[in-house]
Amino acid sequence: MEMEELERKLSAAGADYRNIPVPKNMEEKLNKSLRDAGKAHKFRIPSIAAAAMIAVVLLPNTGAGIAYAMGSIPVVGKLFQAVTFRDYQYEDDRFHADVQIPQITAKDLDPGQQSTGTFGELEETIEQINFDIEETTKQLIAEFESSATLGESYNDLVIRHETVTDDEHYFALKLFIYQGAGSGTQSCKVYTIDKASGKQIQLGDLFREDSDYNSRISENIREQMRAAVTEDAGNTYWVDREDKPDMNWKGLTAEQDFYFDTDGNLVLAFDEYEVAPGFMGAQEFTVEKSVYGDLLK
Amino acid sequence: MIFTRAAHPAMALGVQTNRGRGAKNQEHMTNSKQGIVQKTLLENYQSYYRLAFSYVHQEADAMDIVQEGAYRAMRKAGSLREDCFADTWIYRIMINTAKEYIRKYHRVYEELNEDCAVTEENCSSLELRTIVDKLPLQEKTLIILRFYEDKSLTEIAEILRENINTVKSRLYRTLDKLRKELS
Repeated sequence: MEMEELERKLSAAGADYRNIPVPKNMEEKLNKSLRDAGKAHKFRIPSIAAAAMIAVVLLPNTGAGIAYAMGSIPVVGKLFQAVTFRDYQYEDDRFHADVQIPQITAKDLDPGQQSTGTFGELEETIEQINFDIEETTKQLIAEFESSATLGESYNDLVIRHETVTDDEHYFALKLFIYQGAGSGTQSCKVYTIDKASGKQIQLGDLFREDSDYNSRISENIREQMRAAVTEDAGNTYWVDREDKPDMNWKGLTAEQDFYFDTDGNLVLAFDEYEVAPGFMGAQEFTVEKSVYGDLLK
Repeated sequence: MIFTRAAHPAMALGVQTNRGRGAKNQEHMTNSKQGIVQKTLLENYQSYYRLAFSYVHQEADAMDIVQEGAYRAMRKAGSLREDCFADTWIYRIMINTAKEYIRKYHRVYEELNEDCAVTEENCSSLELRTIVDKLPLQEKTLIILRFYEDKSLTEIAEILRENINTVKSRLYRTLDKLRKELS
C-alpha cells in the first residue's frame, strides 16, 4: 500500500474514532475535578485511590522498661520502634518520588547494659538492619535522581515502611518499594527480629533442622492459589501451569520474606512476578499455625 | 494486607500547590490561567476522554484518568506558559496521567494480537482502527493525534515535548510498520 493511501485511510478512520461515545457522567465528573481543584486545600486523595491511604502505626512501647530492668531475661515486650528517618519527595510532570526511609530504634536501652548479652546482640542487629535499609534506599534514590536529571522517559519511586509484627516474640519491619519505569515493579523486604536472641532471623531458623517445613508451607500456599483461581478466574498464579511448567513457583527460598500476623500466623510476602504475573502485583499469603506448628523449634 | 495493586500508595498523593510565592500578582495570574485551563477542559474533554479510552478500553478507567488529569491541570495551571497552548499542555498532562495510571494499576490492556491478519481488500476503516488500537502506547498516540485529532506536527511535538524531527521520524516508522502489517 502506498504511504499516501494509508494516510488517507487513517484520516478516514478518524471519523470512527470521533464517534467513540463519551459517557454522560463524564462532564459531571469533570466538573467535580474542577470544583475540587478550586478548593484551597493542600493535600487531596484522588477518588481513584481513596482506599490507598497508608497508616504507619507505631505501637506504643509500653512495658518494655520493666522487662528490660530485669536484665538477663530475654527481651520481651514492645521494645522497638520504626521511625521515618528521612523523607524524600520529588514531583514534576513525569517524575515522582515519595520516599520514607525508616530506621529501627530500640527504646529505653539502658546505656550500662547496651553492650552486654542479648542487648549487645540487639544493638548490632539494629545497626545492621538500619545500614541495609540505608544502602538499599540510597541506591534507589540515586537511580531515580539520575533518571530525573536526564529527564528521559518517566519514573516513579515510592518507598514506605510498616511495622508488621510487634508481639512478645518478634518484631518485623516491612519495607515496600515501588519502582515505576516502564511497567513498574513492586517489591518488599521484611526484616524480622527474634526478641529472645536479639538476632535477625530467616524463615528456616524457626523450624527444626530435620523438618521439611518448606514443602508443607509451599503446598499450603499452592492450595491457596488454586482456591483463589477457583473463586475468581481473573486470578492467575504460577501454579499448575501445564503449558509453561518452568514458570511454576518452585517453593520457598532461604531468603523468603516473612512476618507474623496478630494471631501469630505466618505471613509470607512475595515480590511482584515471584508467584504470579505482573498484573497481580506483590502478593502475600497467610499460613495458619496449625499447618506448621509441629515443625517449630 | 495493606499493599495491594488496587490500593497503590503512590496514587494517594495529593498534588501540592506552590507555596511561599504568595504575591498577589502571582495569585491573580494563576487564577486567570486556571480560567483558561478550565475553559479548555470543558471544551475539549471529549477528546481527552477518547484518547484515554484508546489506551485503556474501559469507560470507568478512562473517566478516572480524565478526572485526575483535569484536577492536575487545574492545580498546575500556574505553570502554564503560553495561553494559546492550553490544549497541548493539557494533552500532555492527560497522557502522563494515563501512563501513570496504567503503570500503577498494572492492568494489562489490549496487547498486540498477531492472529488477525488483515488483507488489503477487507481493510475497512474499522479494521485499520483495530490495528492502530493494538499499537504500543507511544505509536498509538502519534497516530491518534496526527490523523484522528488532526494535530499538526508542531503541536504533537509540543504535546510530547519532543523535537519535531524526532516526532517526524517516529511517525514515519509507525506508518511504515502499519503499512507492512497491512500488506
